[in-house]
Amino acid sequence: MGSLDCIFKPESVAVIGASREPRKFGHIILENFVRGFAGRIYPVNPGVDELMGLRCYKSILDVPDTVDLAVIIIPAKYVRKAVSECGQKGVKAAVIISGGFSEIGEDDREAGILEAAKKYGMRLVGPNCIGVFDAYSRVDTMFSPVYRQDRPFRGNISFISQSGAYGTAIMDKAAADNMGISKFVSIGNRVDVDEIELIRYLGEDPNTDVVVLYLEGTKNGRGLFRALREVTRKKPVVAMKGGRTGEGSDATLSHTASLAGSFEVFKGMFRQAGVIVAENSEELFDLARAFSYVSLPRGRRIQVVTNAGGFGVMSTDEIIENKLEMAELSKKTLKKVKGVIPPYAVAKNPIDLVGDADSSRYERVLRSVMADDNVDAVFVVMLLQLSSLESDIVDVLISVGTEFPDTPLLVCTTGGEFTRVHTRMMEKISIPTYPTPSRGIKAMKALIEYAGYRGFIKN
Amino acid sequence: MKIPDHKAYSLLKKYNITIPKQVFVEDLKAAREALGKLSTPLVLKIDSPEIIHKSTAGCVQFVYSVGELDAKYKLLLRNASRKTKKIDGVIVQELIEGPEYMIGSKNDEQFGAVICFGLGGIHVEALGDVVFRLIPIKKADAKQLIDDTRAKSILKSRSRVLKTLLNASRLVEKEGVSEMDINPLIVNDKAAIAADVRIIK
Repeated sequence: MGSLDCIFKPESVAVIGASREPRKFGHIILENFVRGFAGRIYPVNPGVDELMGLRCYKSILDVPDTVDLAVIIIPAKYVRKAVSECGQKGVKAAVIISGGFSEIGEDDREAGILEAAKKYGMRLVGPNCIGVFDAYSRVDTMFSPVYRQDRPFRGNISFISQSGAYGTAIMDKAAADNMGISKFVSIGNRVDVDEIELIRYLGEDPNTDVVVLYLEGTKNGRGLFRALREVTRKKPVVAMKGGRTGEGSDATLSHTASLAGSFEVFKGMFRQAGVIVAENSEELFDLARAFSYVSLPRGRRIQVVTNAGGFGVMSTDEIIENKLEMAELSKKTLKKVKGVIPPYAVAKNPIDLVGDADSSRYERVLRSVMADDNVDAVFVVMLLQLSSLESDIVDVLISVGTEFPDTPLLVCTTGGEFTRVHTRMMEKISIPTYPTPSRGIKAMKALIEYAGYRGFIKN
Repeated sequence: MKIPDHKAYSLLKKYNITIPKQVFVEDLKAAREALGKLSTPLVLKIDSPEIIHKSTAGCVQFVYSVGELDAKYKLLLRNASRKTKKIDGVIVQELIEGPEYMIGSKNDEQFGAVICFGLGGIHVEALGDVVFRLIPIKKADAKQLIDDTRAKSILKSRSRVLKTLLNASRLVEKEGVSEMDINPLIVNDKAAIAADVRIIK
């Protein structure tokens, strides 16, 4: 369905409710477009002549050009009129930031804006949402100023969120952690464009390789299931369901069978549709990063390479408990590994390079291990507290990863500021890095399970 | 509306779900005759639209030897009549024992008909080891459903449970069932048997 292109790739936008006041949403959103958007920009506000060097129009109808997308940030009671005028103007889609609709019981008002849009075949995102961010086209309706909320750089993860504020926080964190993003959509009251249509759209989107979903509920369960099942056959979808406890959810929710909270049903539906289920926000993006950065493994045998014995043990525990397998190196590889590590180091699985390992010891061992047909994936533990390991370990990992692109390599490193600096470097060059063996191996398990679902791993 | 339990058992049978050997009777005389077709130990269960939780109401009685039948039958009816006048009859059933699982179905507000499987009997509430799928399920769904439970590691006759799940899914779909509880589903080396059932249409 190409119809959502007008939302993500418009050639011209109007900001209805553009404002002079620096803290107002209408100001911040206009500023976003001025800063990054390459197309034509038309601010609309009846009381202003000029904004940020752009001519400001009294009404969308006065704009002397075609407008593909309108962003509407005006009080709820005026939204219907604005939508109608957009329709008359031939605007293809509108993102309605304004709240004051069904979320406060104003159902008729919400139905009114949908009716107005339908009359002209115009698409709506929202209302009551943060809207859309596209790192490629720089459509950006997120109304947090950049000094409070950074924008992530371009990547291949797209995120659909039922919660706008949560999405904003994730975009900010993604920017800080160097996690690349393709698109973010806050669906708000989803009066028209909903998660189902977006999932299908992202399934076809060449800039999206991983779809991430945060949902609390759906208005069309079966439709959601079908869309997910279609898309998971092409790309991974990682999802989290909010509202696990049912506390605060509508009391009319059927509890015919007392066991069946909607969370359990949701989770079962996700599994049935081939979706990777995350239990919490941290896991949601731990898994998304792995899918975003590395290719899918062709088996479940993992080789651990570490400079810390304890972390080797913990990684092994996680691998076994998650029903994955420890790789058994070929004789040839074992011989090579023994040739480069000191006699007091252990050349099995885990390979313990011991505390005085430097990056060249890692490099030589990793090259042999990655080339071994008995190894499907590699888990590298590198503790940077040990002074023999220099920053060039980052270069080693990137060059080994590039040389063997079909064998996923995940990294675990724990520590303070020095470690964090290196973690960010590795994220920037697309090496998924985790602060604990448990989080890293969970990501590994998700990769392997999804590879199995796609038929890349024979049982 | 809960359909009469003896009809619920017939529905299971129609969809190739194994049930205990049993006879539905309407009086003591018929119960005595049923002894000829069944072997002890037996269990007597009241069949009434008004009694949902049978065991707590004293509406399940065990008969370990033939001589106990009359007394247990009368006790059963006395307990039941304290609750309601609407009694369809009594199900005289061979007692099946073994590890207890459960298969359930309900109509979810967002997803429609769903099926679940997990540890049954007294473990249902305590362990919460119950996993859901949307109906209809295919073989691959049923396999994954079993694998997603913690109970899978102790489950015997996996292939029979798998077939039972597929049959239950079909039953719910074709018969317009809004809620179903097969609990316990007794699974031993030889069979998966629906030892108790409740169906709401």
